[in-house]
Amino acid sequence: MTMRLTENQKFSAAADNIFFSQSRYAELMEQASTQKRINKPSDDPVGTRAVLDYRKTLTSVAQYRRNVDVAKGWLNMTETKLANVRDLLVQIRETSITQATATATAETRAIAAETVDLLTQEIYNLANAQYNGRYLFAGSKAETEPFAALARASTSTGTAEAASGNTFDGTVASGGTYTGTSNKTYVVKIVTGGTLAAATYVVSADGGRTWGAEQTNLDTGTITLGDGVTMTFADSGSNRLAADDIFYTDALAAGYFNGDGQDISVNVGEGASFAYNLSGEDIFTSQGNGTTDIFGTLKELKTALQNNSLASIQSALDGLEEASNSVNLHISKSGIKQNRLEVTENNLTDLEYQITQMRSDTEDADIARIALELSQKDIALKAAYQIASTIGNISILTFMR
Amino acid sequence: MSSIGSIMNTAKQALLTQQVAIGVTGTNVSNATSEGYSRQRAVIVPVGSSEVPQNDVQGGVTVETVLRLYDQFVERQIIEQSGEVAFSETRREALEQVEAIFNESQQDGLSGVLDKFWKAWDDLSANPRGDVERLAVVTAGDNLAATFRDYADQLIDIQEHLNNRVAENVTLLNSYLSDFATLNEKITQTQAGGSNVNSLLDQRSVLLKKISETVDINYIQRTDGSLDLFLANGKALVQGDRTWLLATVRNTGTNLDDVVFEEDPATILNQAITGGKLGGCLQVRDTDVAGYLSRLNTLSGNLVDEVNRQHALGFDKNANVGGLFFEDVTEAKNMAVIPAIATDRSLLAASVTVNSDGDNARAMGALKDALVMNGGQITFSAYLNSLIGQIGTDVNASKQTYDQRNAVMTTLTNQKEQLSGVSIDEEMIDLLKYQMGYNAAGKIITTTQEIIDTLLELVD
Repeated sequence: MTMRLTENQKFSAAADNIFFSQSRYAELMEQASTQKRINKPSDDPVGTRAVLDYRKTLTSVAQYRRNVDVAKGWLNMTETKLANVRDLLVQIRETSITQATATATAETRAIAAETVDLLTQEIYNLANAQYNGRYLFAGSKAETEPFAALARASTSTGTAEAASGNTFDGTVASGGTYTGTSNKTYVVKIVTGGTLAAATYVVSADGGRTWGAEQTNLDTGTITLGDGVTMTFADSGSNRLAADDIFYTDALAAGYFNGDGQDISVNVGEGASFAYNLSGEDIFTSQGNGTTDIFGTLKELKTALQNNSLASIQSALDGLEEASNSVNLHISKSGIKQNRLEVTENNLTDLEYQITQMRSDTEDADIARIALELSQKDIALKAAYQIASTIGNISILTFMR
Repeated sequence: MSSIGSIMNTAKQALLTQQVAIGVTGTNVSNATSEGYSRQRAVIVPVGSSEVPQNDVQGGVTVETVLRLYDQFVERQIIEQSGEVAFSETRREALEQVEAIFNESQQDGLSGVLDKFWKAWDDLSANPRGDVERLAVVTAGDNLAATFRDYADQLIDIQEHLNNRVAENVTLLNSYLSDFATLNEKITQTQAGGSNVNSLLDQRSVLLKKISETVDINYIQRTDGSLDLFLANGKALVQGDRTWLLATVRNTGTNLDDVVFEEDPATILNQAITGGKLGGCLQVRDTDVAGYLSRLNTLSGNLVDEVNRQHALGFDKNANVGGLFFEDVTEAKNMAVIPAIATDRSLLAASVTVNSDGDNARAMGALKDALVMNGGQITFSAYLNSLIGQIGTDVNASKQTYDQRNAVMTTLTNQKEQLSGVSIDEEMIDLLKYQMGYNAAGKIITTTQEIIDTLLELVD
């Protein structure tokens, strides 16, 4: 039996055809205008997820490169300053070495002493150089001017500070004689609050990075933080200690240095941080990992020249040799760090290129294919319209009179 | 021998019969595009008389009945399928709204804002005392919290919108059910009176389809012509002329409406409704959107916890232990940066020591790669991306389901149309046929008239 084709069928089929052509047409138009294959999650859920992962990686890589730039700028500046220090040390050596002979007189040595003093001043300025408002050679205390004009003859314990947000309103004082050989920041953190007798606390000798065991002897009034440094608490009787109250004090070794020997770092990869500073402690002092007290040597040299003491001049010149060695060593360390950054940066560039490529492969539309398909759909859509417009034209009514 | 009178009578019957047939054709033509109209046909049968002598010609014609061309099995499939189509269309539409929220193809979507938050901390690590960097962190944190809030609010809006639609559909369904019961009554009465119920049946079919589009039902035909309707759990909605109407009651736990029987408000029917628009609204509201919202909350909750935990490990600009960075809330709709931090940026704990080393900001920036979600298996971003992927998959699946159901519906509709639909061409041919019959019967009358005239002349 032949099929009966009813009026409803004819018209709904025509409408369906038009809608179908239109929807695919609109989809292609969207892809063509955004140049993207994926315009909403449902276009390709798996692809969407991949694209978002790629995008996160690209954002991370861009940030790592930014961090690398910060570190590179810092290290460049470090190297420049240290190269200047090296040159100045050479000048000082040249000036002084002529004074280490029998022909030199008290007058020439006095003049040389002036020169050494001037050049030392310049080195001092270089050692206190800043990059973006932060001191290059202060270790993690990058906001503190690392080198004082005058040396401390002995160790010193700084004033005890209470953090601004503390609950405790009694007094706190530091005391004792620091017996350590490098600069430290001691921190006392209250764990359980209450009266001095009830409160418990922990002590850190590295500024708060790591903590010792919990202790309870605050009621003795004075507690020992380490290496002879003490802290004394006096309760006002009103606002007692509270958890997370912070008290801290600097403990400084003898000499010129006010910074510390700790690293400052940035993220340069997933789970990879990079310490980009060279501490003034290592370069200029004999504290911590440092091997030579450069400012001490220069002072010694100047005094020897002023005092017209040949033996002292010669001994100071030996010290100068060590100073130059230390500076040169750290110039090369800075170079090594920069090389590492270079490698990191190249890897990041490669990664960025690859991920960009992968993102594009997943997300971007094939414009040529779309243009082709669009013109096909164009024809299909026109045909659908054409057919729809002729449906009513042919019927038996045309032939009946 | 036929009497002249009986010839006239037969011709009259023929005229009337063709007239009825033309009338049926007229009804068909005028209802060619009416929704739910089933084509009718006049069944024309010969009328014979057994009392007529053998050599006599005595036979007429009459319309025995007007048939409604209709296949109840196709009809049943259409009723069921229309519920499926309505369900999948409702779900598709609502999910597309959800997808529009999570449209991350723009850079300022949630994933982009999250990436920027970590970036800001990384920048702060390189300059821990810098106020610009601190401001950038606070701004990025604010943006992140605002975006979470915005997404949660929009999801909740969609839920509430669906909730309104649940109530609307229940009201609509109740009016359908009442109409349905009234039609049942009319059909039973009319049928008992022996009259034609074709148009009433068509009306009821249309209504049945509308009911099925609203909620998934079962139905049983009774011998008196009425249809009984039941919910999927077997509870009656309509029996004969009786109705059991539905209602909505506010659930104080979810703050959304539950569907119940008007006369039994304690028994929640949500689980029993799995089809039609009502089922679609309930499915998206209570399963799909509720699921996305819960995952968004899991993400924001974990993010708040991790950021606050890391923040407490550091010291702020004034050597205080880091306090909360985000408000300690569990739901994304409430996420916010602690107001004190927004006004006093020195409270950002950028360093792990009382000196400004910036290492806590660095550690915070590195949280972006920390495996903290799904019990320490994936990162925040991966969790978010999989949520977005899930939404994409759901939208895709709902589109495909809708397309499939629609295709089945088209096939069924075509099947129904083939039997029940009106073809103008066919009706025109029928019209010609009946017209010809009418003309012929008229010719018989005029001929008979002439015969009578001739007879009268003979008599003269």
